[in-house]
Amino acid sequence: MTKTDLTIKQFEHLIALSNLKLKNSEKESIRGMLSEAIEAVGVLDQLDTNNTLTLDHPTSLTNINREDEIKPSLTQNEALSNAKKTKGGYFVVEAIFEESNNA
Amino acid sequence: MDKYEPVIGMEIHAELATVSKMFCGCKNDPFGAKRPNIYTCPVCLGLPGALPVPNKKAIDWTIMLGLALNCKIAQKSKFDRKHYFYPDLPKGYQISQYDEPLCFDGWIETTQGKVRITRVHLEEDTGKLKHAKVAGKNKTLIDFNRSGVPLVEIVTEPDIASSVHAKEFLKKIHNIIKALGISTASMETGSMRLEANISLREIKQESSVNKAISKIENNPKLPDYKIEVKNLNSFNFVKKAIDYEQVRQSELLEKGKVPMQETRGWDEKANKTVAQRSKETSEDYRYFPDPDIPPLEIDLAQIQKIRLAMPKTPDIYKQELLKIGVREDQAELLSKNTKMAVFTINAIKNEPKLKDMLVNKIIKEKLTGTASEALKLVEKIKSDKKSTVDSEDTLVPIVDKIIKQNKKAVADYLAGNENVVGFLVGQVMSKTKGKAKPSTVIGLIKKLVK
Repeated sequence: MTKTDLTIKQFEHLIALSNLKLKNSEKESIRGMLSEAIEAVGVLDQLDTNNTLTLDHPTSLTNINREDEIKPSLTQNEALSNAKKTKGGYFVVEAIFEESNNA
Repeated sequence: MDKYEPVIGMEIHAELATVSKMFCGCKNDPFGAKRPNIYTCPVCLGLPGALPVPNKKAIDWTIMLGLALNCKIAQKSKFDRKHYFYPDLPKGYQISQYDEPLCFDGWIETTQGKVRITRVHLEEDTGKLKHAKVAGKNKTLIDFNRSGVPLVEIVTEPDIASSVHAKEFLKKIHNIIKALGISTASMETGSMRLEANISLREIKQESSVNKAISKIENNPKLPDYKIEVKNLNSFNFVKKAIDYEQVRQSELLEKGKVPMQETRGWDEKANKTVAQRSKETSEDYRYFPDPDIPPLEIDLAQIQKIRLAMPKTPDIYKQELLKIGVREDQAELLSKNTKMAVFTINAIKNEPKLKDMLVNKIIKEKLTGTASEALKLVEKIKSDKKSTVDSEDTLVPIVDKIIKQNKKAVADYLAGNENVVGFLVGQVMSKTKGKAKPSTVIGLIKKLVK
């Protein structure tokens, strides 16, 4: 089995996509752990899947749909009950600066 | 002659007007909601363990739209997860369709040839963000009433050749969606949203043979960059943004630079496109089939059922109007408003002889209504017509009599006083109780006084 070493570039890319903020001290050890995890899963590459159909879904169910009908929703209070911060019925999060910065 | 020609593809999003959301039973009425976060549940808030179940009507309507756009309908389709982090997307992924869209390979006809439709797929809308100051600090407020509203996306091939063409194409799509009755398709409320992919291609001095070949091959040489312009909430902004990009990009190309591949937004106030924060990394959505939603199988019976229930599109109305003898330009105009088209067809069916009068009146007064109202209109025109004393046979004796009774006026007229004609016409009108056509009367007076 070949050892999978995640490059720093690949690792940084994954961290950015995962929206994580890591301290420098954490980065090296997590990169190592992630490489090991990928390597462990890499065992699957040894299987011959040439004659295996792609599996889209773990069950053999199809067309599980619902009619277009309204069901009761949560109340506003219920919806907001787990929010760290709310205001006037809204969830509040840190500002997304995109618009204001470029204007 | 311009050195470059634009290569334009469009992406059109429309919220479907189902009564409930795409994957849950919450009310689909984000624009009508009186308060934020009142139409939510564990599914559309992305709470752990919640299971999405697709709305059948949204699937049927997407197929219907595909049929109206001459698409092929997938026999097998599925929903995939598209991953990215943004506060309006509570699950960390959007349920969308990646490699098996419901509809694909379509086209619609425009004055400048076919615009090919790459795909029509179904996904869920996101929540709505609002930027505000909370306790003196900039914050983002989130309302999830819109989260999980069914959203169709239409993607075209880069077959659009100018800003004017883009506008024509978009109006056509808009009319089709309206005619099908599957979306309010309002740019104002955001239930229809537009994006344009714009790049420029150098116009090569080609021989006519090569030109013909590249046309057949659908211009295989596409530019190696593409600028995506978002935030285009009117047809006019699309036109302006394309015109602006055409100038901006050709200036860059002239300097030997390739425009940077990026997403730009239309700034309405500055009348220009502006770069939106370009992403540090290329987009990597890590699509995979949503394990919560079993795949879809669409059989011919289902497609046939949808086809039969499908309201007529503007193009079909136009054909019907042409068939009953309506002039091309009028048929085009009427077909854009399906209610007027139906009313016209109903009215003409009642009395084909009155076709021109009916069409003129319906267009002029923007008339619509039920079949019985169409019949009433026909009856009214008929009785008006009957009561118009228009035949010369009827009018000649009357005009003759008036001339004899008003010798002085006639003499004045013959002496050159044209104004007297008005007086004589008035006399005839009062005799006929206003039912004569003034132009006919004037003609007769001038003829008979001599």
